[in-house]
Amino acid sequence: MISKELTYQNITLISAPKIHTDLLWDLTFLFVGLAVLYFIGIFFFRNRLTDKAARVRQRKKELSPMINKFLFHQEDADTEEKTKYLNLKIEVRELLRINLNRVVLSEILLDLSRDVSGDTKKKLFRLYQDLDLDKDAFHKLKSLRWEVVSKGILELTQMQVTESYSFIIKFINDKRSTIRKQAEIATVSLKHEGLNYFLDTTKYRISEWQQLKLLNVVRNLEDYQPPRFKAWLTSKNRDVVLFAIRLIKFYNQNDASSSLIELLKHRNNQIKQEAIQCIKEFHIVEAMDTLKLVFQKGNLDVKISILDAMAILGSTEEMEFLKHVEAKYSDFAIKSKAISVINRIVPESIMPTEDIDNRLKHDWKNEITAPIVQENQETQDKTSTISDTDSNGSVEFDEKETGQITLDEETKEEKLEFSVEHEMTEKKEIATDDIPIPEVEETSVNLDFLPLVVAPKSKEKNLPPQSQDFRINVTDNETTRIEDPLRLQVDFEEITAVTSHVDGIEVEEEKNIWEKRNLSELNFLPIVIDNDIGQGKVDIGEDYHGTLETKDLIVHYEDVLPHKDPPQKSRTKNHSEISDNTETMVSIAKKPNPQKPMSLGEVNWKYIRNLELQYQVLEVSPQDKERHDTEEQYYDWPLDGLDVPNTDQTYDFGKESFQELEDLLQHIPKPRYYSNEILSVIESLDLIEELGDQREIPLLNDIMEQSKMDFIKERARELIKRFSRKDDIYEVDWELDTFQDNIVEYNVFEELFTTCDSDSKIILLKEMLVVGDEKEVRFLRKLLHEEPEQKIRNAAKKVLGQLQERLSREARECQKQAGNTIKHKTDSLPLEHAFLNEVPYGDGNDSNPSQNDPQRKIG
Amino acid sequence: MIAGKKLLLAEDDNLLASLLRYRLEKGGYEVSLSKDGKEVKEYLAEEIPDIIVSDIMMPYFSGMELIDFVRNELGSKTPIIIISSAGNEENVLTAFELGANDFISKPVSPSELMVRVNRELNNAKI
Repeated sequence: MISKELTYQNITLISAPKIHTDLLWDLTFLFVGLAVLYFIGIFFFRNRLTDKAARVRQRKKELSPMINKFLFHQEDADTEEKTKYLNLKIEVRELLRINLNRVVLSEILLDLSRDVSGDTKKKLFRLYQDLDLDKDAFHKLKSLRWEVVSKGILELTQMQVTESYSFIIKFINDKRSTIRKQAEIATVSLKHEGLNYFLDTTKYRISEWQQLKLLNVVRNLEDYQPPRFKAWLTSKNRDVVLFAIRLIKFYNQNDASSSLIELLKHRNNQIKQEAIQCIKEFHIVEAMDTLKLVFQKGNLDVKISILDAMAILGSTEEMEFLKHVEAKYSDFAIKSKAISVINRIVPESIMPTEDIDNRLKHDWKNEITAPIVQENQETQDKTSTISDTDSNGSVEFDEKETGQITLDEETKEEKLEFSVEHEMTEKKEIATDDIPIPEVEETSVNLDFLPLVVAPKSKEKNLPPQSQDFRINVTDNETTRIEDPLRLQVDFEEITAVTSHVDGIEVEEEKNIWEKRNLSELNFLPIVIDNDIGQGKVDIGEDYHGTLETKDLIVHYEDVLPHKDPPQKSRTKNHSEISDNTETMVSIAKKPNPQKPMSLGEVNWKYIRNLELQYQVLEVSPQDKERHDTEEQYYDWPLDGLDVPNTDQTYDFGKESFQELEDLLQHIPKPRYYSNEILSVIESLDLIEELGDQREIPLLNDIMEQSKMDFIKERARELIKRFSRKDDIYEVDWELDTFQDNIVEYNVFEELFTTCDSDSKIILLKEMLVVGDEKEVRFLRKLLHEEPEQKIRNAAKKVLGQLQERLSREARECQKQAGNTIKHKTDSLPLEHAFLNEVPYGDGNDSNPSQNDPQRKIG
Repeated sequence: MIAGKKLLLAEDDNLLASLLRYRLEKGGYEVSLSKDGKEVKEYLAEEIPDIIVSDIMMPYFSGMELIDFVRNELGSKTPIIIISSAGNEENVLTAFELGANDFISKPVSPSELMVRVNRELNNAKI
């Protein structure tokens, strides 16, 4: 009862549809069945693939020794050897009727072509074509599947089938990138002029990797005479230009100076950079002005490349430009490169300034002779204390010029405790991390202690303010009270403040430093100055007497600007503000960069105008746009390019002399324009080549006769030759299923006869007698008329008679035994023995037809 | 002179091995073929050939280890010619340091290999 209540039928909230249990079971069985079928299918196909692979492996083992025999057969071998060789050829021909064998043989030859070199490789190529395996590759070119086409091109390229060149070049502008790239490599590999054709006709991008591969192919071509690649510097395809520059550089073709200089003005930075490299390598000094001209518009890499080129090509004439670059550009890479170039042109014209310890310039002789003040000997704790400055004099600080502080005479009474010397006799420099400060004048007080912006240490904080306002480390562990600060020289060591970096500026971390200090500690504020007001001087005022109340001072200061700091504006604050703002660290001001605005309100429009805008113009010409639309338009492009002169370019030769102009024009390849008639003929030839057959031969003959252009004649001649071939690959249906039907008409002996010597021909005639049929009869008749050797003709005559007799007898037997097929042609051949008695040939075993039956041998 | 000389060919690529074997046999050598390092070791445990031609890259036991094994463990001065891939100069130098007599780079010219093998055997005889 309870269980019934719990069923979903009784719970009204559940609205799930009622499903019949049997249906659920049915579905379960269905899906289980499908799963089982799926796994069976996988198992079946996997096994099938494995079996096929095993069969191919096995077949490779069987066929590879045959290939070895072919490859290492010697022409001067004895008769027995030759007989075996011929038998082998016949055997292989028979094997080639089976598709699997053809595939395996192709694979073997392709694999071996990668592993062998020298004569063996050449023989391999010859064998590939002898066995007509190239026709399979040609057949692949017609496939709709890109991977099959690509494989076909690869095979033809790898086996160096030069006849395939004219078929492969059609794929250079194929939409499918794999095919296109394969075709590019094939075009360059198969014929030496292939690279020219490729550079002329390609419309697509050539990737860097592809360029490397093409270059590798080109450099490995034997006896390759590279063309003058400057001809392609005018190409509309940017990558062709780039590749041409690289080829120019690779082949050291330094006759394209003017074009290379012109390419410096190219919009594409990569081309620009490649041209710069070329110019640098060829040492084209004439490019110097253009390099300077394009410097500003190039990106960082281009700028660096230009400076690099200047380092090699430049002279002292470029110093002005380089100094300008060094001063103008804030980018560290450009700046340092400019400096290095300057130093390269004029060595050591710019000396290092960063982190140089200038204290090493102390005159140690003076230090030895200088009297040491004996006062305050008790203060041997290496510290000096500065009492409150009650000076009414002014404190001057000229940071802009020298970074030094000059004290007035009134400051003589200040209660300062310093380590002193009687006179200041040497120049001092203060070097900070950011500001190289020039040497001080001899008469000024050396306040090398500008890092007096010192973070107070815990020990210092505990000292009474009156006695510990200013403390420095004193050399020789002495502290003295001085009367005349103008006559002081202070030696000190930097006291490193505990700082942290905020936006690139060193800022004191201790926030309440000012709260814990007396304001009189700020008596060193004069070192905080503004460049703009009073030339870096903070004027306290001459009429000021008594203790210096620093909070009444108006201090003009400026934050230290980091190297790549966003613009900051200078500020003017009352000193009290500074006191309140305990987070502010007063430090040495830096001269602001006049190129950069300090605030939005101070935006210098000149600065904005000088900003470098880096961009690349992307051009899509109407032709480029159209080429993706249809394939027909696509192939028309190369012809379009022939009669469209580039009218966009204008040249200003006003400043060139006539002679220079002539020289320049000599370097520029002349355009070739064809008339519409010629173009139509070329189009016709294209169509004929693609679609035509032997019926076009009369038309082609007409074209040959009427045309005056050599290349048209040549092309027409090639087409006639191709259409005249009896075994034209385009006439033969190479569908693999019907291959056997087609090969029935093919006479193995006819082909073998063309390449063998007299002995071999006799052997072949004997073989014909054994295995021949109607087509051998035709061939023997032909031999009787065409064979030059009497001996062969006689033998052929005998064989013909016996063969005809045999065939007629077999025909009669067939009529008698209708329905029975002739299984063993050679079982009853009395005439064969008669022939063998007359024509000496090998031993008896070789003539055994059962041994020559390839099916029996191979199994 | 050459006829009957025993040559051990260690090459894992079946096709190339078959081709070289055929060429060397045609040149009069009695060629034993090993397809990996294990087979090479087993063969060498039984007998030392007159000359060894070995690929550098082989399964189980590389050409380097083979040279080391022959020179140091077996203490044999049998001439060893190594077959290396092109651009593998470092391996070639190491092989020479270990005691290889000569090298030939892939793609291999069988005729060239034949000449080198003959030369090494002549040198060994001297």
